[in-house]
Amino acid sequence: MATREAGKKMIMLKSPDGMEFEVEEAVAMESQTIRKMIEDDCADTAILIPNINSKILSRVIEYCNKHVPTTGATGAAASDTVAPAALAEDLKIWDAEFIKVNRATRFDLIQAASYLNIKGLLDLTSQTTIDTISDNSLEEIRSFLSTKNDYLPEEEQTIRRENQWAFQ
Amino acid sequence: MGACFTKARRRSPSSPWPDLPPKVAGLILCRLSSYADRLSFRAVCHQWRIAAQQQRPVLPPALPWLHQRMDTYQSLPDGKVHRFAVPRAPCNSSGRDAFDGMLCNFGSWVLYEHHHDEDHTYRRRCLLRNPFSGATIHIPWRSIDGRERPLMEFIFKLIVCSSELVAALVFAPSGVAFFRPGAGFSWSFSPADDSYTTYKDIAFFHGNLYALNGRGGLFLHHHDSGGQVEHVIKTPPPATKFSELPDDCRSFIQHLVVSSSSGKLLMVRWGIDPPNYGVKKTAIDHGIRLDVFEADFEKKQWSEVKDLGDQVLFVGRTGSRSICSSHYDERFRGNRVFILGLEWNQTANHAHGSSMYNYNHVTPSYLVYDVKSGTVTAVSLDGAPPSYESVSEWLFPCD
Repeated sequence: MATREAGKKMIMLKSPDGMEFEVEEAVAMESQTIRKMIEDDCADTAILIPNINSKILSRVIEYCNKHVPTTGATGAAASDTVAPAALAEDLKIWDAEFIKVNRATRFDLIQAASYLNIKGLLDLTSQTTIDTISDNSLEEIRSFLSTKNDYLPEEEQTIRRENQWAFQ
Repeated sequence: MGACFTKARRRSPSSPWPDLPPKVAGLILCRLSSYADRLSFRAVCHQWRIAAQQQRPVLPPALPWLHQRMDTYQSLPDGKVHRFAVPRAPCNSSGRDAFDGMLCNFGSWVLYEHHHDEDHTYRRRCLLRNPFSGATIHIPWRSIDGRERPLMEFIFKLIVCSSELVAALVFAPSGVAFFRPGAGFSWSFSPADDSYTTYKDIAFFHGNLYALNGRGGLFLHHHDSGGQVEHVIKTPPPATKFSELPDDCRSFIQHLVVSSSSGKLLMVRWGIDPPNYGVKKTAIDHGIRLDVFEADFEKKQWSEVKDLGDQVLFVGRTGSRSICSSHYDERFRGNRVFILGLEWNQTANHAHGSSMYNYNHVTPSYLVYDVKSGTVTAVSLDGAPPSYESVSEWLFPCD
C-alpha cells in the first residue's frame, strides 16, 4: 500500500482564508480524508481544506509532523535507534503540551480532527473532553465548556429527578 | 433533525460545544465507561442529549457497579459511590409506605421486600426495580408450593427476560420457575428433569431459558409449553488443566454468560487449587484455575474458548455479563474475567478449609483473571474491606 516514495513528495494544503501550506505527502496522509483524495488522484495541485482556518490548520500540520514517523504499520524500521517505549513517552509529553489550548481552540481542533479523520488527534482532543466530563459536576462541565444550560427549568427538574442518584 | 428542540431556545453564541460533530459525540460516549458520566453528557445541553439518544443503539454497555455494603454501590471505573432511595410501597392502607430494603441485585434489577400488617393480616410484597430506567415489576411472594415464605429461601437467581417474562433459578427442589406479569400472580414451576440435578446457573439466550448443572449439562426449559425440559448438552466440557484435579478436592463455580461479541452462550468455570496440590497458591494467580467454554448446539457439546477477544466477562452468582470493552481504559480491556471478591473468598475457604488460611483479611473487592496469561490481579476499591455482613454482587447499569 505505502509503496510510493512518501518522504520526498510535497503536497499543498490551502485554508479557506487563503493561506497555503506545503507539507510532505506522508505528513498530509496522516489525515485519512487527505489520503483518500491523494489515492483517488483528486489532488494534482493543491487541496482546499474547507472550514478549517489557517491558525487551526497550522496546528494540525504541526501535530501530523510530530506523529508521522511513528505511525504507519511498517514504519518501525525508521525508529530502530530509539527505544519504542521512550519514543511513545516522548510523544505523550509532547501531546500533553500540544493540547494545552483554550476551549475554543480545542473545539476547533476536535472538529478539524473529525473532518480530516486523524485518529490520534481525535483521540487526544476527545480525551480531554472525556476527562472534563468524568472529573466534574454537571455545573462545572457546563461552565468549563461555556455551554449555557438551555433546558427549560421544568426540563432541568425532570432530568435531575429521573436520576437523582447521579446528580446528588 | 433537532430543529424543533432548539427553535425556542436561547443559544449561547460564545460556545460551539453544543454543535459537537456526531462522530465525535459517538467517540466520546463510547469511551465513557461510567454510566453516571454518560448521564452527565446527556444532561449538558439539548444537542448533546439528542446526540446521546442517537448513539444509544450502538454504545457498548457501561461498566458495572459493585455492591459491597447494604445501601451503597461503587462504579467500577472511578470508584464513585452511588445510593438509591428505597422505593415507596404501593397501595398500602396501613400508613407504612417504604419497602424495608433491598435484598439482592439481579443483573440490572434490584429486589426489594416489604412486610406490613393489613387488617391484622401479615402481608409480604416483593418488588423488582430497575433503578436506571425506573421500571418496576411486582413478583409473587408465594413460593412455588403456594406457601408464603421469603423469596430468598427458595430462589437463587432471577432474570427479567422481558416485561412479560421473569425466570427464577429455584433450589430445593431444583428447577426453573416462570412468572408472567399480567397473567396470574404466581410462579409456574418447571422441575429439573432429574431430581438429583442441582442447577448452578440459568441464562436467557435467543429467547430460551437454559439451565446448567454441576457437570456441565445444559437444559432448555420451555416457558411456553407446560415446563417441558430438553437435555441439550449431555457431555461434560473437555478436559483442561483444571479438570485434571481429583474430583473430591475441587471446589468450583460455574456461570453462564451470553457473549457480546460472538453471540454464543458461554460457560465460565473457575475454582481454587486445593492445598498442597501442585504449585502452591501464589500471589500471581490467587490459586485460581479458570476455563471458558462455548455451547455448540449443533454438535451438542462444549468447546473450549482460549481467547475472549475484546470482550470482558463479569461473573457472579446473581448475574453475569459480557461487555465489549475495546474503547475503555486499559484496566478493563478485553480477554479478562472479573470475579467477585467474596465469591473468591468463599470458594477459597471451601477448598482449603477455613482454618487453613484466613482469607477474610485479604478479601479484595474483585479479582481480574487474564485469560491469555492466566495471571490474576486483585483490586480493592476504596473504603472498608468487606466483612462477614458484606455482600458482593454486580449491578449492570442499563436503561
